[in-house]
Amino acid sequence: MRKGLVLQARGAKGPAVEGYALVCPNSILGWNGLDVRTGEIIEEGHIHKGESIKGKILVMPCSRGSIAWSDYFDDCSRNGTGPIGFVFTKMDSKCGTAVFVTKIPCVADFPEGVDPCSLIHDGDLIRVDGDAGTVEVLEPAGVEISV
Amino acid sequence: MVRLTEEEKRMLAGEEGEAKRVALGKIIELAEILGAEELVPVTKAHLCCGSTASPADFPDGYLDSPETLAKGYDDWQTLRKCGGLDPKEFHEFNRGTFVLDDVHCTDSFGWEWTQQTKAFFDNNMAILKAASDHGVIVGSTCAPYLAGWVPTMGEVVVTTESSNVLYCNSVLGARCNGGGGITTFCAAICGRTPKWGLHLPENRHGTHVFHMACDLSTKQRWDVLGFAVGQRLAPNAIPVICGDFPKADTTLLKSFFTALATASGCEMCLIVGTSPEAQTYEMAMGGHAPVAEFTITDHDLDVHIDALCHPVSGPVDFLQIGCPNMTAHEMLQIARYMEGRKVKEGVRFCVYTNVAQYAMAKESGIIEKIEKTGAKVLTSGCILRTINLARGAKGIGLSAGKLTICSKSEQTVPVYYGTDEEVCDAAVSGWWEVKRHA
Repeated sequence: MRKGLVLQARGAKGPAVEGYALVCPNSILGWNGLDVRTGEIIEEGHIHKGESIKGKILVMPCSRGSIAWSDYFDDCSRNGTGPIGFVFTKMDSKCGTAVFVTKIPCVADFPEGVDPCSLIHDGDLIRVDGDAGTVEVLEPAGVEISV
Repeated sequence: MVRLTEEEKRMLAGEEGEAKRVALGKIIELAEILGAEELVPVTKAHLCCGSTASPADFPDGYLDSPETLAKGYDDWQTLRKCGGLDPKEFHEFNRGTFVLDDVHCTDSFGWEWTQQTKAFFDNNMAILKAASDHGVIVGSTCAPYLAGWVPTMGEVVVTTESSNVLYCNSVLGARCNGGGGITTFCAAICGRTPKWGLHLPENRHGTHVFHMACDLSTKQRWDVLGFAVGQRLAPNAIPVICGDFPKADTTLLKSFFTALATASGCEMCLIVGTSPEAQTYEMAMGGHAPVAEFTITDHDLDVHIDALCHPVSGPVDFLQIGCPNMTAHEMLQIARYMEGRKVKEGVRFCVYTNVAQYAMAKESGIIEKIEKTGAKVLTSGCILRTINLARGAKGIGLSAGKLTICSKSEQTVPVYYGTDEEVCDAAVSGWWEVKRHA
């Protein structure tokens, strides 16, 4: 069971936030990957194309593509269509700027072999504590089968 | 906790002015998010300084709304990029930092060919004038290393262009992290950036090794190599390119890095025998074992050429080359290729460069030769940045993978991809004949 699972990493920005996870194992493209008016992912071929990042906690390995990557999250944030928290497997310069501009909680830099993009699932209710550096699965998405 | 030098403490206390105080506070906040322990002086900065207007602001193509024209001007970008700084307190960027501007939303010399208005053009020029009043050198380019902005090995720089991050780290051996427009703006004001990531020697070694078993003799091959490598990369990887291939020059590598930056978050790529920190394979790896190894074949490149290009032949009426901005020598090659030919009536064909290369090409008669064919030499942007440029086009042809991918998500008409020469041919015929490669 993943309920109660706690992952320890580095708190990049506090405080804590609770919300539903949107897991993007291949990140989101930095140019025209997002419709900033709606928060919808519009990148061709993206596994969550057509879904919105609004009000979600984004779980991603890192950034991808243009340096404008953070600008898209900044625009979403200004339009009220942005995420409420970030979880990054490994902090990079564009992720750092995205956290800086949106000022939302973030946990990043997981230990080697700990992959939040596989341990956290889409729709999990999670708690991201940017002060303590923890991510907790409060309520896993869907029905889980114990083996 | 970020350790500050005595000079930085004085700056944070406001002894070097309000602008530096506010900007440094933001850089310290960024350093804490990144996990940096100290800051480092920045001697070169490259950042967007034109109007902050973007294509999304003009869904109907109407450029002259008062809100748009006011955007970013009265406050000269401080409200957007350095919140909390009173625009009246911001007089100049850090004097010790060479600040050059990135591309913007108009051509530097005109507005008619680009389907804009004089009011919109004048507004952007006024914003750029405000930039130069703040100490910015106006070069307006995505390739600042073609305009005299050339850091030396070990020099710490900031930039708003992802391909330039790769060029600086990989070819020049400079120290650069990507970041974004807002943090770059603040770094240029206070002349500091978090010492972190690729500033640290221990992070500058190869992780993923790519063996080249493919033809790499042309710009297009290097362009699609950027996608082939980028799509195989893990987060924050540093690819090592090795194998027996002809030495690549700036022209080939700027295309490669533009594609690589589009396909991945990669900020450093070591090319064995070319990168100063990778004169040998062992030097590139710095004693680390590869995380993964790949072999890139011609087929791996060809599938990207086919995937980028619209699959069905058809008419084209808008064509662009010059991503990243072309050198005068590249434009000379285009002038030679187009000699004696004419762009078809009703077809718009443009070649993009920056103002520095434009000046040299003009002195050399190259601009005149290109424009005699009916093509237009433009500066300071591309199809993605020059607002309204391709409006009304029924078929588009491009020679950069980055522009092709991004245009496909912005345009509803067919977007074709080929070599510079194939784009020239299509400009003459008004038709794109699709060739399959894979």
